Amino acid sequence: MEPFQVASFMTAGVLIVTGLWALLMMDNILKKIIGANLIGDGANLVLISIGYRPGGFIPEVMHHFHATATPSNYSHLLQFEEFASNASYSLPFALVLTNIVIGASTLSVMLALAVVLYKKYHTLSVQKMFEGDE
Amino acid sequence: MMFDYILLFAVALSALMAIIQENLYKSIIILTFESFSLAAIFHFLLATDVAAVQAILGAALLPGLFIVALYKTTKGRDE
Amino acid sequence: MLNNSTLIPLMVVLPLIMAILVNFLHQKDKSVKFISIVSLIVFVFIPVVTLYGVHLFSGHLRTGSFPEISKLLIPDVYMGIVYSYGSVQKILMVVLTIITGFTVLTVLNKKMISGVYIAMIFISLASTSAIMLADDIFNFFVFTEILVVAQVALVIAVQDTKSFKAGFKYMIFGTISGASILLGIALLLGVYGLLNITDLSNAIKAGGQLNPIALSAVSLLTLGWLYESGLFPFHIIKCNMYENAKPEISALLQVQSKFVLVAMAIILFRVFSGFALLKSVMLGFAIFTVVLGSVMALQQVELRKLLSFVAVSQAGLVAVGFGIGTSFAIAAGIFHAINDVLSMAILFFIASFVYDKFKTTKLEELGDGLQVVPLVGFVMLLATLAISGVPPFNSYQSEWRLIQAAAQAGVPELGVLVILLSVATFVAIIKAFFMIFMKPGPKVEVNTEVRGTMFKAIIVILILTCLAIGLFPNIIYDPIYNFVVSLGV
Repeated sequence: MEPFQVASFMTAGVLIVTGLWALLMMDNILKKIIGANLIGDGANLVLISIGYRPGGFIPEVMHHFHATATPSNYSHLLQFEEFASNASYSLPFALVLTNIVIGASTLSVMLALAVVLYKKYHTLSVQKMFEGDE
Repeated sequence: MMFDYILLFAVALSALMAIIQENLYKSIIILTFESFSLAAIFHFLLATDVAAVQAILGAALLPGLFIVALYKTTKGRDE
Repeated sequence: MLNNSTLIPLMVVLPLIMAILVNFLHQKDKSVKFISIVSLIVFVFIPVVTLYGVHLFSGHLRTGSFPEISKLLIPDVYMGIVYSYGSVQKILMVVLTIITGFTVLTVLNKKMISGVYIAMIFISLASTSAIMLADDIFNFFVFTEILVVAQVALVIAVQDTKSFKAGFKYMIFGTISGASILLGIALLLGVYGLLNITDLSNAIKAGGQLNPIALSAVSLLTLGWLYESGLFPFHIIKCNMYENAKPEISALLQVQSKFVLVAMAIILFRVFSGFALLKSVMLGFAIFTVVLGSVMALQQVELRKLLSFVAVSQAGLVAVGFGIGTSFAIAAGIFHAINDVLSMAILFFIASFVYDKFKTTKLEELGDGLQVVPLVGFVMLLATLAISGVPPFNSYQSEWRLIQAAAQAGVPELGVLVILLSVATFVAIIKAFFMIFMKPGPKVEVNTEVRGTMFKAIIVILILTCLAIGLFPNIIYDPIYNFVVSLGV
């Protein structure tokens, strides 16, 4: 139970809750978009903290990965035993890289929509923009 | 040793401050600081390649887009 | 080189390449038209020709043994990304590509052709194909996010204030649901160390009792499923999307939503087969959607909004099939998705034709349609019968199977719900039919230069398909039933 990993999970929780509150409760449209950014950051931090191996919280899945290296064309990696037992599990990194890019593109579309809505309504307040809808 | 815990606390605190701020320019600057601290946290969690991507996108590209959007949405500045 | 295993990812890769190409050729109308029509023919051809199978990306095989990994509960895992193509995927892909083809033909028929618009249609086709084919849960998540952006792009192309607002609300809630799907995937990765759906389902079955972290994962993934399919808390957002897009695009959007519903529900059932509460929760949300959608559809006075509420309530009916949970009910639900998609596509294409020809879709401003376009009126009457489950058409076969499945599972009250929904749908759409085509209306200006031959051909082909499926249902139903039984849910 590595304390740094537990602290990262808690920070990620704070980020997600803060982002969710901003996304749903704030009146300014740009604050909602900042909230969306924070939710994405929190989810990425959860993903990376899960793979933190040195004494980590959910580590035991790939516990003795370096000892087996079963496919025979990977057997040349058996010499890196010290690295393999101290490095983090690297599969979540690929997921996070993809997710950062997805988040950035979604955010840019939302910002463009916010600019267009401002041009029509001349206000940044969501209350005034969506007031006639059921 | 304590530096990474300070960074974690800074991330959480600046996220809260970024959405409480009234002035949106200040809010975006605090958001930049938060993204950069998050990139440092990723490095301390042994994910340095992800830290590089997060630093570029979260601390350079996205605040740039936010500031352009903010510029175009303040009164009297739309072309 | 071009063997069967290469054709499976081609169903995703080729629309993406064609989207980039068409986007690049944006202002050159003739090239865009030519490339779109050629690629549509190829897109319909590939799913028909491909045989059933599995594609392993980069040749990573299923491994032999992992003897010393302590918590990995199964001996064989897939080492890479896997796409699998079975009988249900084949039928759904053929229907999806045909309706996409019809939509693109309608879009190409107008005066102004935009390469970016057709590129977005192709990207949404590629994402929906990948969602149906993927056996890897993170690949599935990436394509759901791409699908959200592509659908929003299609809706905001109308450049109307209401469509901007609809697109913005869709993206706001899309962020929440994307984050919850990602957190569910993260929890599953943390506990089981696997991302492949087949391996996850084997690992969860081998694990014995229910793991509380997996319980949190299933609730997060169910929230994502509710958003992607447009069920109970998010049905208003989906309806806003359908009513504010151009109606031929709505015909495409509702196909994609229902097929994503089917694909994601199959994934949830395969991975979380031990959770008995999952089916009850899905059933609850589905019943809410059916009731709310049909009640709101009866109150509408504008054609596109009425059709969008009907589409949402029929999606709820498909989810009722999944919620009942037996193999018979799930197969009936998938069959109903296919039938309903075809009938709703006819109605949305008719709405597009009415919008082009009469320039309005408010029901009290229309009237006397039968004197101007008798064929379209007749097809709309047949489509109303088709969607409500009247015998020679296809929805009768699927709704009958749903009622029988509900009775066999011990909940015959749901059969009453199905019948009430079909009555409500019939009343809502026949009201629209009467007000557009039969009532003596105020003088509505008719756009005489809109001949609509392409529309008429499309809706006649679709209604004949509905009739054919209604008369010979077992050609489509038996492969679906065998597939569901082989899943073992």
